[in-house]
Amino acid sequence: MTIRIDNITKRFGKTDVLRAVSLEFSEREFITLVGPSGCGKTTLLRILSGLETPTSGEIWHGDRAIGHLSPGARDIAMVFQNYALYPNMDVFHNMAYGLRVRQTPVEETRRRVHDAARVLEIDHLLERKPRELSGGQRQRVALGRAMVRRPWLFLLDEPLSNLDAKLRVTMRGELKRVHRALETTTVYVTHDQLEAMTMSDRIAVMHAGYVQQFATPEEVYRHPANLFVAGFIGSPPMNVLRGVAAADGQLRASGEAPLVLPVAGMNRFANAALGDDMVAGIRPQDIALALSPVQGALEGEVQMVQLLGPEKMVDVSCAGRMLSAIVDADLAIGMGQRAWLSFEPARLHLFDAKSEMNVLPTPGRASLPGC
Amino acid sequence: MTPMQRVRATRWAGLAAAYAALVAITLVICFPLMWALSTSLKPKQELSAPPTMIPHAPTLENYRHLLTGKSQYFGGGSADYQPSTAPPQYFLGWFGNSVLVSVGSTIISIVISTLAAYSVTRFRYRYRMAVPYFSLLGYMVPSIILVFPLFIVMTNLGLTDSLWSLTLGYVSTTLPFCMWLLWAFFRGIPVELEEAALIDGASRLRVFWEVVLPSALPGIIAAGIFSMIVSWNDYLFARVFMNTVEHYPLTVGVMLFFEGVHVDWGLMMASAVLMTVPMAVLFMLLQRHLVAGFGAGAVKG
Repeated sequence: MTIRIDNITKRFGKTDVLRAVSLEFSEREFITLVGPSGCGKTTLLRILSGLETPTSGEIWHGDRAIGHLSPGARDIAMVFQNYALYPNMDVFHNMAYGLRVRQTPVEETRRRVHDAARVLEIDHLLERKPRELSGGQRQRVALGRAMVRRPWLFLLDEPLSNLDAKLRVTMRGELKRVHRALETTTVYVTHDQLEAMTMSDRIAVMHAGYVQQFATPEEVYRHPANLFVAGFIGSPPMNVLRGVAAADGQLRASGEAPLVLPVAGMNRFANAALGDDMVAGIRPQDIALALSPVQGALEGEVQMVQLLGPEKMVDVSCAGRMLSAIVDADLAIGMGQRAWLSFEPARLHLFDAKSEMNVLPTPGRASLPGC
Repeated sequence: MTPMQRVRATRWAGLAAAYAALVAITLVICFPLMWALSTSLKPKQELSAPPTMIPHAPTLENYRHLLTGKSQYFGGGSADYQPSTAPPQYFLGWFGNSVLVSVGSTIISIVISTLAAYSVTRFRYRYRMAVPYFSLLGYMVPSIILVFPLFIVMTNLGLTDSLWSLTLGYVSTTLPFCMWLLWAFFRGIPVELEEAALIDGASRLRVFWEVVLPSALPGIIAAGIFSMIVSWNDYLFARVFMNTVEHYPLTVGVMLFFEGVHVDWGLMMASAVLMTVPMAVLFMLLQRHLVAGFGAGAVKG
């Protein structure tokens, strides 16, 4: 069965939070809604849960319209950002609450709670109250409460954002493991693009109430649909060059000193609708930096070097444009040095300046899974 | 002295001073209570003697008289002085009146203010914010200003001299504050708790009963204690609304121990102690529910 979000809009007063959002995914997929705050991702999740009703549009589970069912009637489970554990109940009763409401037999309830607790390694905490638990433990209880009901859909609203960095990495793996074990369709909301990249089967990048791109993590990273996605996904953010025009088989960035982009052989761009006002993008990871002259490379001066751990980020000014490149941390490089930047043409992204859409054809799209 | 020792000495001196101050304040506050207790345990003859903190011959006679309703002290057992009323015989009745009125008004106050506060925090409707602010404004008006208009209301309702007038009168003074207190409390209960329960499949009513109310319990108890104390200690309303001796609550009734020039301090103080005990016991029983941060752990702590 597929889950289809069909043309959902949501208006709060005069604010359009969601404008015509449509998504379709199949069972067992791990879908992430990612975007900056205020992009509508949490609202979309709440509409899926039934806590919010859409202004227009419908949600389909197979051929069943569920858009106007009450939250309880949808048989879904949700994990909240702040966990929302019932403070007056111990861990066991927190997890069993949904089953009790649904009048599941006591034996069955006990078995399911104990099973889930074992999977999440919280079986020694069942008699504790939520206030006696650490953040990570509360997180697991909240997850367990969602699991025992065996819903057909998990909704996770930034479940990791209240954890410290180290625990977040652990829980990220844990969530992935639970998803693989239960194979329950999951919709996950986060503003952290790294979480989205590492966990999802597919990512819906949202901005200003629209889904900007809905694709696999690889495709979102390698072929961002538009400038917003290009800037949002990837860290450090993509280098952006405005005022790029195609002429005589070359790409030129206008400016105080025009810059010819080193894209030997433009055949990759042959089918693209190249204009004379485009934005070029190249990820810092895709730039090769040399300390001696390289044929066709952009020459510039090193402005800043930041050590990121295993690598360094080097900001180079080329004809008045600042470009960042990621280099090995061992490379001896300092401010004021000359540097030559080059990159594979295949790694270059081109967007229309007005529509901000990617003008290049999707590379090997048919071979990507899930499309 | 080494610097370390000096630091330690300074800290000790500071602690000692702080404790001395606390002990002094406690003594000042507790003295009237202890004096009442001491007086209530003294036999009649000892009352006129030079005052002592510890009774020479402690006796429970004052209490016995109050609880058995005998009036020997008025008239000292002789026939030459018989007061028009003999207060001790009413003591248990007054006590019962006080309990009825306090418990009744507290229950009404709590039920209404809990529902009102929940509605104001969770539902959207026009002028909803006017409710808590106006109720606080109402609470700021001194009772003495309210008591005569209320008396007229009670007269029109035909309730004067009935316990209902007191119950409703106390509701009118405690409800606004309880409402304000619970409003603040409900605002602190994350709405996600309710949403989680809704998703778990519970009905709105069930969510309110099983999730919201238990989370709000410390606030409800605090409001309840407040309401109990106000109703239990009120003198003004009872003085104005009630005429019949049998209908008095304790506060007004106890004043009858000032019978002209004849003041029976022993009985009076025993009454005071017996009046204090229920509130103290109530407080001790409920105190553990009042611990702040009861709800901590529901959401990120």
